Amino acid sequence: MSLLIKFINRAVDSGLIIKLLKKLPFISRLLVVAAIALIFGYLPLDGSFRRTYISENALMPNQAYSQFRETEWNIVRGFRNEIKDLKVWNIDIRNKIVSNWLQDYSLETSIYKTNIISDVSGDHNSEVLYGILNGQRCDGTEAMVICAPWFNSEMEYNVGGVSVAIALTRFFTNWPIWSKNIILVIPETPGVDLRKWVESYHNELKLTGGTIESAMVLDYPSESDSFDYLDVEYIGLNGALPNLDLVNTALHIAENEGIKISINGMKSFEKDQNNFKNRLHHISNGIQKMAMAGLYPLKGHEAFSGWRIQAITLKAVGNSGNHDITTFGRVPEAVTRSVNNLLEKFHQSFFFYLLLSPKLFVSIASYLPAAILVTVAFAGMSIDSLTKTNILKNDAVETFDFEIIVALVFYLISIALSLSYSKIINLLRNKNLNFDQQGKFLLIIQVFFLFTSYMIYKPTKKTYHMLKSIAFMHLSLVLTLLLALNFGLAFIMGVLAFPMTFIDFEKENKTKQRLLLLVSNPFIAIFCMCSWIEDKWTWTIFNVMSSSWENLGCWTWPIVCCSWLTTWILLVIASGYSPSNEKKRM
Amino acid sequence: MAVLFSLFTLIVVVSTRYFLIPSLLGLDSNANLLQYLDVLFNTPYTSYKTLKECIIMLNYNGNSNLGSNLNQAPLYVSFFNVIPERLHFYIFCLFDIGSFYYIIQITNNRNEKELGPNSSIKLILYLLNPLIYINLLMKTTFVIIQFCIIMAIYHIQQSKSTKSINIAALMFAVVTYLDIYNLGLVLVLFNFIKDNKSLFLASYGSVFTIFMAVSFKLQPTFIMNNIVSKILFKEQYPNIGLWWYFFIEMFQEYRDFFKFVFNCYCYIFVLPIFIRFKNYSLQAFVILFTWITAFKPYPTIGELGFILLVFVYWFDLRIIEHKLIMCLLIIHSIILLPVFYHLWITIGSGNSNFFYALTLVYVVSVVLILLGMIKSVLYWEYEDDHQIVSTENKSETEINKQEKLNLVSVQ
Repeated sequence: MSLLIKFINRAVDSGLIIKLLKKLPFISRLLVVAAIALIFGYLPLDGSFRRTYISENALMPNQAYSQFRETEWNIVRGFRNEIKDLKVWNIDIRNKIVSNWLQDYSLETSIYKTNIISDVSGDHNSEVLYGILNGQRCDGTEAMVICAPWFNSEMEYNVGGVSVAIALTRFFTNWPIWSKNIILVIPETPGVDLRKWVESYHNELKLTGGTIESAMVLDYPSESDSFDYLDVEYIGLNGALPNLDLVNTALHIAENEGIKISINGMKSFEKDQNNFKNRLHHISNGIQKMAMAGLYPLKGHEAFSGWRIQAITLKAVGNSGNHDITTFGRVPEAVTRSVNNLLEKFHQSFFFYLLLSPKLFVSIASYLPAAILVTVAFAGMSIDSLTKTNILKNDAVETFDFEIIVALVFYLISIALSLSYSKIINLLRNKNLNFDQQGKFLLIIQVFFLFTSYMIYKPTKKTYHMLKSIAFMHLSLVLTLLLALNFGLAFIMGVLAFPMTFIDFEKENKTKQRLLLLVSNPFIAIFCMCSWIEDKWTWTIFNVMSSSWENLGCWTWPIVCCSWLTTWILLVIASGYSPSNEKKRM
Repeated sequence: MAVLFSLFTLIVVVSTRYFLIPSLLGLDSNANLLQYLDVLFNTPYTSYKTLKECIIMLNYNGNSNLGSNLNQAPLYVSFFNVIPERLHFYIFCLFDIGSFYYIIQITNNRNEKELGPNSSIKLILYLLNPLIYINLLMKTTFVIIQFCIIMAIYHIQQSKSTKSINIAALMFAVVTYLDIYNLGLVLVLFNFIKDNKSLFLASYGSVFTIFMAVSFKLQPTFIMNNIVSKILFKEQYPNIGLWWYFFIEMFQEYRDFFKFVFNCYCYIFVLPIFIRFKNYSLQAFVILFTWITAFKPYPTIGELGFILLVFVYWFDLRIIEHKLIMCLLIIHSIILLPVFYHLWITIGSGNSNFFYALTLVYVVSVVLILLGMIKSVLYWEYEDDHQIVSTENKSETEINKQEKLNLVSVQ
């Protein structure tokens, strides 16, 4: 410790610290560049990633021969014909019929009714059918979920998925090997109703089968016997990822069955994993999905995140190809048998990772520094502004003077304002605007606020720097809070908000500064990013964000409102400052 | 006009602090956002949850000797048993107002050494201190301990009258009764008293004995459940202290030795601080309190709130360097502690190492504060010994060159 203090003293004496403090804006820009370079330049490079492996020995994927073969073919087809005919009926009749089938196979079934209030998809009633197959060697404390929604995320009738799920469960009843319960869940859609079911499974449902260890959502919308390739989705809400072992197990099994595999809808089988560009493509797609989970129609596995459930979605894409529907069924069969082997919960392998291809990954230690660098960059900008207020100097007698208290009061006001912003969509909802108009209205408010506020209030120099300092420190702290929870969101928020740090109202060219503020406005930046990704104007994105916070518990909306927006409002308040005005005051 | 204004401020403060924000948040701290901060502010010995448990067990068949998890002091439990449950929060509020009142009193008769912020800023600092406020919302025992400490300090500073000494002794008996780890502070309190030391000792000893005797009559198991289990690390829930982690890793055979070592470590500086800072009794008290808080088995962040407050009040902040690093360390550790706890306990994707690493960072920040305190006191002592009138008359560079670098060799 004394050595460290000696070192610091020497650094102070030599004036190094002062020099560094002067260079802080440059350093923090350098840090952000380094962060971006780390993610998009270094990670996809050879030597910075590893090949995936099964870490938990008990899993033993595909060690046993998969039995879901020709014998079951006609059974699957039979179910498929029946289910195809069920499409015309309402959900309650469909569920009643399927529930009768399941009861014939000695499953205990129950129907969970829920009422969904959502302004995006509209209010409606929905119900979830679920049945529990009691494992013969099971003490009823653990369970595995197989889920097949009636309609998938694209609102196609999931005829293959439901029939495979039912046939598979029927097939499982013949086996004496299950040491965990198997729960078959059939919701109407993989979205809010499934989420509500998972929520009430952990709170109030009468018929339960123990803690859910793993969940697989089967998605096979085509009526054809064959499919092109298998797509595995795994990125959950709020940055939750399933244990890498489960993803690996599924991919490993599918590959052993000879199926072409893909992750996150990337068609990975077409892309050579030895190619830098393909790995880069996978990593950027992964980060983007992590940040925006919950803003698109749910695939299904997202509904399970937050309860220590490892969940993935298996989606069969296409209707030609060499793989037939029982091959698709053998993947969940083998995964279920692997998970069945587990003696402990998933704890080996990684919970934080990015996949660069189905077989390559980087763990948290490699990519987390990028998010840390971004937060440090914001903290650096904050300290830079703080040094300009002179309150760090030891000779300042009055640490708290009026100008600083003004800044603190503005901080409290902007927090209150941004908290109320999270409700603004709810206020707009009841007016006679449609979703597009609501989104446009919100964006126009931002522009209006930006270009009028400086006429009302003009801060003094000290207040201006203090406001900036508080703003950047606030964002830096929120990013720190997020970086282990939801890396993707923290990183993307940090990078998109970074243009804020370039603003400097001590310069006379105000228009450029205002444009920078405009670009870094949370709503405008998010809108532009989503429109760019979707390749169309996504005016409804704010309604989607708000409703996914209310219905799914997806944090993106409150976090954007309470961190980025607060910072932005503070900077807009600070934007009234101009040096010429200051001279007049003197 | 001034009276009207202060009355108005008082009304605003009381209504927001004690009524508006609690009602917005909801009084049950397990149901609102505060549940994420549970690990920071609550230990089995201070939490409101165990208090309620104790009250239920007290009323259950009149037999309160059941169970080893009745970790609260019996008199404390009996006191809250008398009061209806919905009024409990307002009792804590009364104690909060009490500590606020005595803080004002202490601030009013400060000595000329303390050059910190002026008194109105000090009051704002108390009111806006989020740690103290959340501690109040959590209804932990430390709200009462804090009140008693502040009141004891106020009264013992006027140690001329016997009445004040008796009150201070009574208050400090409550402090040690509620948390036995504060026992070492009694020794430092003797620094405040010029004469009448035996009176303080006698009245403190008798009150403390009476408390213990009555508690033993009420509930004989409390010695085991409250005092011994605290010292012997019986309730090993994860907390922000340093030692719980050792006991989830360690073999049974070594535990007794380390229990002994850790307790010794917590108390090893009582005598040195008592002797070394004899002339700076208030500061010595705070330094020892900080040391014990950093290294006792069940610390909470609420105590840090009190430490930070008096750190700003009673030490010369201009002497202390690296304030920025201190601030950043404290803020980041307080933000990341609940996150890593959440990752470990709720989501299950992190593990205990994440959380423990952050408790290490937290303790480093507390120790930095401790170093700052000691440096400040040493500097004053140096000034007094060398008859330096005031630092304000000299230019900054001169101070840097001459006195500051000599600090290491201060006798």
